[in-house]
Amino acid sequence: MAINILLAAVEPGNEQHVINTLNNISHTEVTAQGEGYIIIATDNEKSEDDFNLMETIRSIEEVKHLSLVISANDDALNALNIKDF
Amino acid sequence: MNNQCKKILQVIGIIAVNLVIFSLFNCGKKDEHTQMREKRESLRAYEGAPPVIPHSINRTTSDYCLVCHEKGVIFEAEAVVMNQKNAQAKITPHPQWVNCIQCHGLRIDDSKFRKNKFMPYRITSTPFTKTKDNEGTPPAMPHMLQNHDNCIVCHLSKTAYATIIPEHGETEGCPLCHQQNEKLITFPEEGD
Amino acid sequence: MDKSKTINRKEFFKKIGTAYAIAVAGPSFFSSCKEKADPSLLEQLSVDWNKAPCRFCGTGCSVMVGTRDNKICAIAGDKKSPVNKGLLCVKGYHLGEILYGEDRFKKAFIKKNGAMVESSIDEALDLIAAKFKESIATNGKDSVAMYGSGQWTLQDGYAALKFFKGGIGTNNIEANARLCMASAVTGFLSTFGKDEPMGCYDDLDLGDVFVLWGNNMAETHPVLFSRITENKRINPNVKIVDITLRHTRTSQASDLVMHFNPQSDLAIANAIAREIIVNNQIKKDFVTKHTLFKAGTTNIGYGLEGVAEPTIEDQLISFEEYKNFVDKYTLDYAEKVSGVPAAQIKKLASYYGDPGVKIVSLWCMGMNQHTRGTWINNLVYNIHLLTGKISLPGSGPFSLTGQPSACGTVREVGTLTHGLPGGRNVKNKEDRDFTEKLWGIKSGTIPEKPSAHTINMFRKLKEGKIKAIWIQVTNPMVTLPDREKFLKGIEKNKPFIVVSDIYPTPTTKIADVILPAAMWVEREGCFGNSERRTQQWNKLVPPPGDAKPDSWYTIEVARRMGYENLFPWQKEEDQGKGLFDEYRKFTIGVGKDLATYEQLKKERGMRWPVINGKETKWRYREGSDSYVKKGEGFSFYGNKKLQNKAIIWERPYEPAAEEPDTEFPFWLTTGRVMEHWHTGSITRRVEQLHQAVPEAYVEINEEDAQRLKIKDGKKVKLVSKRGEITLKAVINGRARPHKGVLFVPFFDEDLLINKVTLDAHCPISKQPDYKKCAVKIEKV
Repeated sequence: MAINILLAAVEPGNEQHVINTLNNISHTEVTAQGEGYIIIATDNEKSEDDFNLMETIRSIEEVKHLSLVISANDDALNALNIKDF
Repeated sequence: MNNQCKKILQVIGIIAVNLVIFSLFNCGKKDEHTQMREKRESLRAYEGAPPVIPHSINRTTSDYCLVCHEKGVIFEAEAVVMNQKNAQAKITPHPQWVNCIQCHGLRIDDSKFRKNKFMPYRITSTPFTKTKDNEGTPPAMPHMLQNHDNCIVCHLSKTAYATIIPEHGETEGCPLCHQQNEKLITFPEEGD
Repeated sequence: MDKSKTINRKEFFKKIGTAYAIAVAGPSFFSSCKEKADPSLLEQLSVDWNKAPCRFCGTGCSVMVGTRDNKICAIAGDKKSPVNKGLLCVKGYHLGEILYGEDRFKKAFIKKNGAMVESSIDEALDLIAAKFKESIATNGKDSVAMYGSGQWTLQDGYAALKFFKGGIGTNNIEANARLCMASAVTGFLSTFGKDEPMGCYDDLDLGDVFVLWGNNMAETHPVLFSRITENKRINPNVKIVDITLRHTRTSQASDLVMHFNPQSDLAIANAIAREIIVNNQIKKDFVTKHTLFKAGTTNIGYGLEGVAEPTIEDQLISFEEYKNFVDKYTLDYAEKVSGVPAAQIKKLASYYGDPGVKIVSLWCMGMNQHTRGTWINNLVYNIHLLTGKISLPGSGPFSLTGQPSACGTVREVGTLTHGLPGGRNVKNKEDRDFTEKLWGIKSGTIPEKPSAHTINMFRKLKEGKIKAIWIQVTNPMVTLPDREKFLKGIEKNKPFIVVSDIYPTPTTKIADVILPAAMWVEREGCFGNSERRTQQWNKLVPPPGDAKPDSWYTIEVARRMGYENLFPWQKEEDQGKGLFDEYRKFTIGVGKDLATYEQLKKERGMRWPVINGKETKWRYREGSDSYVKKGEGFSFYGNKKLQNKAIIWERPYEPAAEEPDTEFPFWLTTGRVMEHWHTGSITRRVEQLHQAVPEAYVEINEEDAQRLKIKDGKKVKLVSKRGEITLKAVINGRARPHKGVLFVPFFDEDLLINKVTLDAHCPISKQPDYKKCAVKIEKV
């Protein structure tokens, strides 16, 4: 199980269209949006689902480029001691 | 004097007494933010100066200071630490500097040798109040960042100053939205 | 009121990850916030920020001065300076306050009928010129004197020097750097023929082992010490060795602490040299090609009053003779003299001897304020010369300077009785000719013989032989050793005393005229720090009242005495650059080439010699120093008459001028604390610095205190053959002296430790030994 943070480079002007498409894909959440970029968090139980989901997002027409920025699995999340914040 | 008049006078009297008592207790009481600001200022020669150490120290090596100041400590409310209750050891925004007392002076007493008329640069901004006009605009940062550019330490950590914790919690890259604004900094006038 | 939201781990990670991704994508994310954040947020504040070197120690940190409405309101470390890289010390952070003590001099004062009366600047200057002229006419040129400072700007020092040597025609100019750096200078000159370090601060970032010879660097050069501790944090194998009389904050950060008996550093240094020879760790080709050996007069006395000064000579010797001399400094002998275990001395010697170890020796007052100060400087150079560990990145001897411009002004401009600008000496005819020609003055104006060094100058003053003196930017009534005898003589003979200063001090108390001085960023100026870096600053705020720069006053008096031709710059605004540009001519071509004034305005200073706009980091080594010719490898070109070779000196251990005995059983040593600068006239008026160390005290070793039944905080009296003082005892405070040693800081004008000290000095450098005299403790 992992949470992945993805950075999608998008044709400027088409950000809203991509966001609308993503809102219909389960296990995804748009966490930030800028000019030409969208940041997406995905949350899946199995790693093969992670890969499939990335491919799905990559295949959206207006997405020019998709990269995996950072990822955390269960162990890593449990190691976070967020009580300190 | 009929009874109704008496009763009205009594009520007015009680209200008046309450007002007097209320103002006696509240006159001169500052709001929480001002109190916090003044306490911070009393330790710093100017905004941006390293604060003096308001408590006695037994050793001067950084491992000693970091025991409390690396992760911060919230002392029990009733415990008297440094002559105060509700004391906190704030988290250091720059743990990479290990010769703490090189910059942070001691305070042995509060005597004065001679008076000094230095007029320091201070923050006087009030906490940000959201209104319809300023909705969406991030408030400006009224202080410089050198040696304390870790926003979390003062604004979001467990020992953050309560009156400057943002409602949006932790988001991304503070200085990219929060620019610096000179109007929120004032300088003392001659004679202050 | 708890405003923070509860976030579970996933939400938290999403936020963090998003922030990271934004950092990857860059600021194009924030088109709604139209202005991109300026990388230097400092620039956006409405405070005006300008650079200046710090007013305090010889480190020469660069500081950003924040001003608004013609006043300083904030200070920040200068991130662009390679010296301190944005960091300061507690004194530096409080520079903003130093201009604003309430009793700052705003007007001139003249003593009339025993009281100081406010006067106009013109009246004061007319009086000074008249008195000086009268004294010269009646008693000769050497009856007037100038006593300046390592806190003088280059311009102040140059103006004073030109006035006295080129105008009046007397060598009676000295500076307080005689009391702090003279032994370093004579050490440099006798070993290398040229003054000032050959290395630079880069060595602090690159060395493997740092040896501190009697200096509490964590308190006296804190920003430089931080560079060493930062080096150590990155490279945990770095070692710090502390040779010390007290366990200080420096010792706390050190790996090897060597407690030694005062004066025995002479024996330890010789023992290390012997170890290197015995273990075959000499760098033979370096020693053969680049060094010569010399021996000099021994038993040279202590410069005490009334004792005839011996003639000091020297001669070349062979390596064999040197080897035989140093052979008696066995580890056992050194242990006997110094009290340091032989194993520790051997360990230290092994660091020096190991060819794979880059080693830096650092020292300041412990070695300079020493009756054999010249000798101990020579002896540490010996070690670096025998091993060839000199002028190399991270490896070499580094003599630290105390004051912000003892190097830049006193040593480089030459404001001492024998000095002329650019390392020249009045004793050399060609130097006098060059100077007289450049100044356009009559040949023979500059006298050939030096007249009096500082201690002798004040001895002459108290005896009535000097009738008029001008004191600028220094406080001799606090800093002269055995000061009561000087004060008594002055009170008896009543010389005419002019004092230029900023605040009332014990020295302004004996003045006949007080001139209000503009300080630091109230005027433009230049300082030169320990690593040969000359730094410039502009006038940033106006001075109070009638106050003016010291150089302006000097020029005004010179004009009134008929020397206007020496100072063609009429207005104050032209004098900063004018004086510098003329002085700079003296530095070209003699290995001290300064950058241009325009370059210094732009840069965070530059390290001389500056050749074709480029600094020199390491001197005397081919490839780094343009003065060293191709193929030479190394060249100590200060010793032209000695084949450009450095000298390794035979220098023996000789005891101190006054050692503890049955009547006075304790060593008294004096020094500084981090928070206070010198005599405290500036720092005590800064609230945060005063409250950190409000008064002077005496540090007593715990065992000694127990034996004498002295409790922490109790008052005790220290008595020497010269005087006494009552102080609070501090036991196990910030530093713990060795058994038998007492320490008193000298910043407190209300508790004058120099009533107790002795004016013995190094007979070569004439620098007094403030680190050693004998006292007893009496109950109060």
